[in-house]
Amino acid sequence: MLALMSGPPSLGELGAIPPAVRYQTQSALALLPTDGSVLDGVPLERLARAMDDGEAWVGAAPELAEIGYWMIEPSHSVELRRRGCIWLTRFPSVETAKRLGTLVLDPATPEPVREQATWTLGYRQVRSMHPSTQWPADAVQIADEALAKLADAATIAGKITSEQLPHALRHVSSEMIAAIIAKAPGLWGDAIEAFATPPLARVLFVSIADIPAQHRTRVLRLIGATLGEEAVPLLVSRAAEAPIDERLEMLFLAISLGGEQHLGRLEDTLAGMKFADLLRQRAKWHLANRGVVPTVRGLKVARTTALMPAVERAARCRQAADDLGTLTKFIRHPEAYLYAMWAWMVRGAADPVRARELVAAHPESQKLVRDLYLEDLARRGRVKQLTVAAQTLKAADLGALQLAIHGRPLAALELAATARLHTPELVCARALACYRAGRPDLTARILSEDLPPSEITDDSALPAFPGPHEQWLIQHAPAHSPAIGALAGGLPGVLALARPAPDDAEADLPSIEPTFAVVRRLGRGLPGSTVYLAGEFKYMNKDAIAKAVEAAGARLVNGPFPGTDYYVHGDWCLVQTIAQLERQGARRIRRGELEGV
Amino acid sequence: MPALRKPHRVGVLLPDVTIEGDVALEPEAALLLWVALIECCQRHPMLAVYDPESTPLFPHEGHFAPAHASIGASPTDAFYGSTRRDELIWLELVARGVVRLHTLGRDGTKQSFDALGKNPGDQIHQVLSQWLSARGLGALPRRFEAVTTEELIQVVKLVAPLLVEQARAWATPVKHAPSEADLDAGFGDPDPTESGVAEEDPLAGTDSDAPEEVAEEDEPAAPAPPAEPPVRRAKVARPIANRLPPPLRLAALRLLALAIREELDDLILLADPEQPQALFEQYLASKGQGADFALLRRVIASAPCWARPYAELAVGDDDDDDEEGDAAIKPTELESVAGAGIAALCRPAQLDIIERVADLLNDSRVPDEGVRLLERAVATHPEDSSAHIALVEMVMETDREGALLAQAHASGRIHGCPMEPAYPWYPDQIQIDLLVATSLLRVGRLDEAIALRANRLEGREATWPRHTRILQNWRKDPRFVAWCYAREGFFRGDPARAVEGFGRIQPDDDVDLAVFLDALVAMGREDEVVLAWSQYGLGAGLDGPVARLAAARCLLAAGEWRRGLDELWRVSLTEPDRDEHVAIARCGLLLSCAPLEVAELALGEKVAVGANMLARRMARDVADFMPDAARSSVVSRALGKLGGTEAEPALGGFAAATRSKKAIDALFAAVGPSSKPDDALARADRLVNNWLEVVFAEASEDDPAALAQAACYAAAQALARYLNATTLPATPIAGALRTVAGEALALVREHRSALQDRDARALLGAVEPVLRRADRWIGSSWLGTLERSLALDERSGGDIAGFVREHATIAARVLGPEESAVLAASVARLHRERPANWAAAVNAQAMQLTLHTGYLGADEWADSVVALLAAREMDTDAAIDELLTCCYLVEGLSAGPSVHAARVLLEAGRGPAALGVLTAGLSAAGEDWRDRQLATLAEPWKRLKLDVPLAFEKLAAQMFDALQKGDPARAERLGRFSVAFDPGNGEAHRNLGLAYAQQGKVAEAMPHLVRGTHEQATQILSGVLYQAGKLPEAMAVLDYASRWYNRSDQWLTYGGIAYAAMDNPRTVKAYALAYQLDPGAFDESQLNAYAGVLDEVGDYKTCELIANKLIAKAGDDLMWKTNGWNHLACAYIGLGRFDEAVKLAQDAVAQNPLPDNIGNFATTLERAKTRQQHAPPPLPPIRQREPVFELLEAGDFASASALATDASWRVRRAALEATRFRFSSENDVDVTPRARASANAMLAATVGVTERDAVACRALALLIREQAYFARDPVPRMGDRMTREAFYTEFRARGGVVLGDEAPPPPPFKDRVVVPGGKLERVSDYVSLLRDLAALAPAEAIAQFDLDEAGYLDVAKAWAAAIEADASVAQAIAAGLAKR
Repeated sequence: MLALMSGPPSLGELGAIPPAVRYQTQSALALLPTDGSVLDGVPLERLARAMDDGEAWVGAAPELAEIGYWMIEPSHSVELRRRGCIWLTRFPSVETAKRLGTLVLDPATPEPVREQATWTLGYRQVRSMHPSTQWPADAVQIADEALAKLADAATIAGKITSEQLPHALRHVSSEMIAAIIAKAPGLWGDAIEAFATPPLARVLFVSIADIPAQHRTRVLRLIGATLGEEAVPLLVSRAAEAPIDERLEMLFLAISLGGEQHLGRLEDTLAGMKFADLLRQRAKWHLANRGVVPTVRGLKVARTTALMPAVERAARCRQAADDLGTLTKFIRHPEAYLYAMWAWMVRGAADPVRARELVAAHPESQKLVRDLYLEDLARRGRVKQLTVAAQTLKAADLGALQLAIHGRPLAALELAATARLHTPELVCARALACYRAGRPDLTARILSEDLPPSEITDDSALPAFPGPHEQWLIQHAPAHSPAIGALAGGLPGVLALARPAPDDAEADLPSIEPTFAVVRRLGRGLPGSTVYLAGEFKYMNKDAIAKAVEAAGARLVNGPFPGTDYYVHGDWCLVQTIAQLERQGARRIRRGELEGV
Repeated sequence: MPALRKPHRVGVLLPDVTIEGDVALEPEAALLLWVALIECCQRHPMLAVYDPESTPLFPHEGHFAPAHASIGASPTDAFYGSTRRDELIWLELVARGVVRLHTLGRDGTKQSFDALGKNPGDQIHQVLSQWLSARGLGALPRRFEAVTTEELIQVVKLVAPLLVEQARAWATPVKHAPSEADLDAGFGDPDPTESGVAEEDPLAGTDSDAPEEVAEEDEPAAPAPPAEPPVRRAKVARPIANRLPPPLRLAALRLLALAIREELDDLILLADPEQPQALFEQYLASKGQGADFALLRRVIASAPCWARPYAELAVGDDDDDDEEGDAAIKPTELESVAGAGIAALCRPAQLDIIERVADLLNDSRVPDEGVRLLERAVATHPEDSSAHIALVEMVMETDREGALLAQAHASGRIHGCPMEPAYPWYPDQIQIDLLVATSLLRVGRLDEAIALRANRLEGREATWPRHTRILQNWRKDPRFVAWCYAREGFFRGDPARAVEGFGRIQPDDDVDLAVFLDALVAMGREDEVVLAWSQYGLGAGLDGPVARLAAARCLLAAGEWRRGLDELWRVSLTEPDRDEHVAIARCGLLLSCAPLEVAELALGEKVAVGANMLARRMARDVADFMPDAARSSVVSRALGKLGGTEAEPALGGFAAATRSKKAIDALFAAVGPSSKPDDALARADRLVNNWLEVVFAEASEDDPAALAQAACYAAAQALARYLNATTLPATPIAGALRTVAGEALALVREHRSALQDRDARALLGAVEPVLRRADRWIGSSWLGTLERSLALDERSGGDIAGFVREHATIAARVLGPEESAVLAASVARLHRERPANWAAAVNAQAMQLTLHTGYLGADEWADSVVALLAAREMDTDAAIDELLTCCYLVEGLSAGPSVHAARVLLEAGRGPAALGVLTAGLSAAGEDWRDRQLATLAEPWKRLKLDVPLAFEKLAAQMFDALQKGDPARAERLGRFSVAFDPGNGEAHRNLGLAYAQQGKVAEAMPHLVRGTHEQATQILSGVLYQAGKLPEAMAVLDYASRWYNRSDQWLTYGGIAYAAMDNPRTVKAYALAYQLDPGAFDESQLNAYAGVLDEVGDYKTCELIANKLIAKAGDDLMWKTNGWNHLACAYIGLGRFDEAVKLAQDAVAQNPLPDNIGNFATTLERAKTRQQHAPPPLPPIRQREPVFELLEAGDFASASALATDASWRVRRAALEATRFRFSSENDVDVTPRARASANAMLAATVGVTERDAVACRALALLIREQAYFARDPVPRMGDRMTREAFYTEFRARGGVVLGDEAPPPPPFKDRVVVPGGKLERVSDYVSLLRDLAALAPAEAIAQFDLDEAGYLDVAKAWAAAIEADASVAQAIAAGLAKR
């Protein structure tokens, strides 16, 4: 019983993950209910946030899997167990696979937990997880077996009751699974995507009519990619009877796999059609890339990035990104998730040019490749487009930094003035832009007086910038946030980021007005400003300070409201409140600036 | 009243059938029973069965099977989750064994019902009966067929081979996709009968000079792409169908039709003449000849909870005949809205149904409900572009331009065309982008709108001809430039441009008018608000909620208290679903400055006629916001009995760790008891000021969950306390609580997706105890807002009652969209069918519905009142009270309640009140109906000897007589009734307008003159006022109306009146503009007047010109010739040309034929001889205004905002307005940081103020805060800024008329020395340095100027000092940077 009531395992040193993530995780875990009561409200919200913020890091500390194992214990609430399954996505291992396998096959496991565990067992993508995340072969086998058992049971029952299982199976390349799918292809249409064995592909073809219509294009592509030329006669013979979308897909596959002898059939079909020219261009592409079914090839990589060694990923993601984008030049993807997969490949490739291509084809994807897209725009001097995109994507600080780096300092300062949070990127952007806007004096003052807040790493106080978290990043992951490294390096560090503006860049703003905003901020004038008295005032005289604030022409506010200009640190104050104020750009009233402080 | 029950929504899964010894038949036997079960259940009045068309039959392993409807499905799975099924049911049937019905509830509850019996049919009937009984539902209206196993097998054997064969040979049916030409013709089709909905061409129909659009059929037909040939099927089912035996024949036919998709309706109807789907097909087939509502009603009667027929239950726009026979069968508006709601309730995830339903809701003026429904559809079908298109089009109907642009952009990013034209573009993508273009246009981003539309239509002109034409209009029509200039200016925070732009084009829709009114106030032109509202709102009918709300706040800001109060009440009582509590509270704030007598008079009128319910509701606004309301006996009487006591809210439902709880508690505790009158206004204001700040105590914008929770807690505190305060004597603290409640709920709404169920429930728990004590109408309004802000319907998957189960009062009263639909349907059914005691039931239900929706159900409510009165179940006073409430709510929409009320009032001997109620409400009646109804009133009318005839001809004649006899008061009385009688009669409106004008009632006259005389209204009005000796009023009308004058005759009229008023500045301005437009339009008298005034004001150069013109025009007419000479002499005197002046003056004196001129001419001669030049004082401005408004007009926002601490509140308000302006860099910023900071400072500075201008400042600050944190309609994102110069250039280029001088060009760059002796002295050097710093690496750049780090720093410091010392340095640098 004692074990049932115990709290989460202690985290230990955890030198492999940044201190702020460590602190955040620790704080969130401390709030978790250990008595099986419902996980909701603040604890749930904190846990969710810690998991999101830590996604890119925690995988570097495999020992943190223990937390997941603890979370999925049956004594815990359903939501905590479900979150435990999500947590374990970051820690693929034999042990994880075993535990989750047991969980999914246990009939007593609540449905939400089983669903999440099923997904975790299937999920083989790295996406934004730590680069060291990689599935060992043994773990893959265990996970596949567990999924196969689930799939087999569903096949026997003739009904898939799990929403996650088909999608999890899309990641799995396994003969076992293929055999199960082959038993009831109509049932598993949703699971068929990037992997099939030749026998399965043949079964799929003969039972294509059983596959629900929305899955057929995907399935046809997989059949073609798996069987190659063998599929051509079948495709051609079926094409005549098929509805138009499927017919076209079959004919393109036939051309891709069988060559130009099938162009005639395509031409017959295209007669009078609206997008005929584009479709002919597609046929041309297939002829130039014989045997390639690009979406299937791309998806094979996209679904398995966590199976391949980290060093290979970037190159394979580049290829996969190209594969997933190829057909969009001729036809839009019938299923929107393909754009998301494409976006993740672009991120894996870390290539701004590919980000541009993705966004050109599918504007909504700019959310997923935000940083790369902004970088691409800045590199090409697209000031206006960048400004709009940065605002839309709520990344004025990043956009401003890119503009400052690429030689558009006045536009950078103008954009920076609209940023909501006082981040390292914003400060770095201002410092560099001021320097390039003829105001190195302001740069010097920013670097000495207006640095961003550090991340919280403990409950005692907010350390000065760069704090332990930032120092850790500079030391272990300098590429993660170049702005932090640059600010820590002082003026030389900041100037080192600068690049000449591209020759064909749009002009910078024709006004030095944006520098005035920085002048005003650094001026630290109290009249007309707002001041928050943060925390508890036991020794300091709160009333006297309040009077002094009013005497100085400033106004007190009742909370750390966005837009508050200054704060007075009480005798004691929650470090989170100070962090929030600093992050919102409020500045601490320094000793001597105000009577009583 | 107990909550009405919703239909029980079920999905039927494929049965588990075992046939011993004949396994091969099992799949088809299961299918047959599945169809039979659905057939049976769909006839039940309370069962909404998910129809088989929604789970279509597809081949699966050689047999047909329904998609998704197989065992293993659950009500919460991916498919059924969005369908909101309460239960899934399926049969388990073992031949010659037990029949079992399984059920699976939404909460996972499983249940089974078994039956033994002589045959499976009986057993199925038994288990169904058991199940229905267990659910508290009535018995099946028709029993399941008592079919035996053998009969079942016999039927299966007949159909199975065909089904198996067809399953194997099955091919996907082709879905018809509309061609681009179809889309062009249909998509975004503007409705010519409505103003403002012409989404593609917002100015369509306003310009009679505009070339007529080419009719669609005149265009060469675009070659449509060849349609995909449908898959042809042989008629295979019919031969088998004919051989089917009677048992299960209907089910088998339906099965064949569903599986093989062959049309068998004739056979189905033979088997069952009332089969709903087959009947519905008949209805659809005959719809082209007009909807057959009798048939439709049969369908509904046959399957009372089947969604599709309900979506057809609407009368088309052209079906407006009111013959009694038709009226009996046609759906009423209530039925239509109820039908729409029921359809959405039964098929909540079906996109086509939802789109249709949303359209119906929009037709019934509840587009917000439509938006809500479509938002759900988009969430359910995010990948379906048609859902997005429907949503964007529906948001367009709400007149929330910021929300529209945001939604259009969001949908455009997902489903718009790819950015690169190399990628393929599809029609739906183009459609979305055309909507984005329209949305851009509506916020004034003309160039971008044109560019986007042009880009998407390039090369597609042949297939999108209508949209191409629209594009051409956008490009060529000058009105679009003015329109966009005004709108862009307004949304950017530059009200001067809005006023200016709307001086080039008249407001044409509700948003235009709202923009115009707000801009007038912002620019210190409050005195024009009443004219603008009278002309466009009341006259031209731009009186939708957006315009009316703007009118309320602007009229109050202008000190037009009574008019403002009336509009405020109108919009707040009739549009509760818009949730405008925040805006209404700001109006309440403005109302707080009004004299109490104004409110007392308004309330007194209501009480006097017996409208106590209305008075009580209206008095609540007065009590909440007017500081002295507690002292008024009229207000107290209107409020009725108040028996509450101060109590702390019940907030136990919130967790102890609720964010910002401690700070919020402290804030509300600091307000103190409302019964303490000291300092109440200041305490109230401080609460309003501080609540948002304390919400952020433990929450931030980065943490929406925390913010939602804290806001929810603040809302609970405020709303519970407010509702309690409504039971206590009046205090302004109640107004503050109400303001905070509205604002906090708006903030919750903003983050509702992050709000947890527990907090939502806790808020309801806080409201529950006080809801019982509060006025029902007020409670209903807030409950509706709570439901929408907390998204209770979405949160609970439609099971609101289940969600609020713990709170009995709320559970009984809360109306989500589905509950409203059920209530509306119940009222409609009771009202139509009129069973015993229908009136009492309708009375209770319709009242609830009407108070919830603001108008819907009022007709039925009124009918029930009359019935109850007739049955003596209600006394006369109560009946009058309820009827007057109905009348008020449907004024202008329905005349029924007003006729009922008039009848009851007449019976009670209250003739004048009856006349009043008819005058207000009769205008909505159709002609025939009106005459029939009025005939029934003739006898009591006569009996009471009312001095207003009940026949139009007599009315018109008497009105004319009264006007002729100079009795405008009598004419007014008659005229008001005559325009109610025949609202389309222009002559009646004109005469009424004249009657008002003669009495100097300008605002009352204007609407009727607009309706009676259209474009000439303001000229006629000013003329009548002038003739009646009301010169200031006439000048005010001319000043206001002349902004649209672009013809010389208009300016000449203006000049003539100004001349008569001896108003030189106006005369000069008017004549000068008239002369600029057409020098030939002046007659001699006008030239004479003009020249005279020019002399008086000292403009001798122009005077010379005009005098010469007069001389030339006079010809041989000595009278004018001598006048001309005299004016010319005066001009020469002014110009110092005395000798010439003497000659002319002598001629004038010598040849003067008119004795009146003798003195004047002699004086001129004397002046010329004695060389006397007088120096007239400079012309005073036409209008004396504070300089801050001129700064705003000049676009000098920095200087204007610097006046934020001016002593005058009016100036401070303008300064605050100036901070709202968004520079290009702030295009994507909702509210500028300057505005946020200034608004907060303004709030702090206006605590406890009651002066009108100060309160207006406070209201503006609250508006800014709303826009920054919880805007119902977010501020639109801006794009390219249209400068004044660019506007006039473009406007002129398109042929627009612009009066006055062109703006001077911008100053050129001038180089100069700024830092003498510095390393970089000149501006050009500094500019070069900046250019190099951008183009090169920093070190390389400074090296170009022989600088090192230290040297660069020195240069920078020197230039920084120079820039700070001299503002022109920055301008010089800017000019240098701008030079390429």
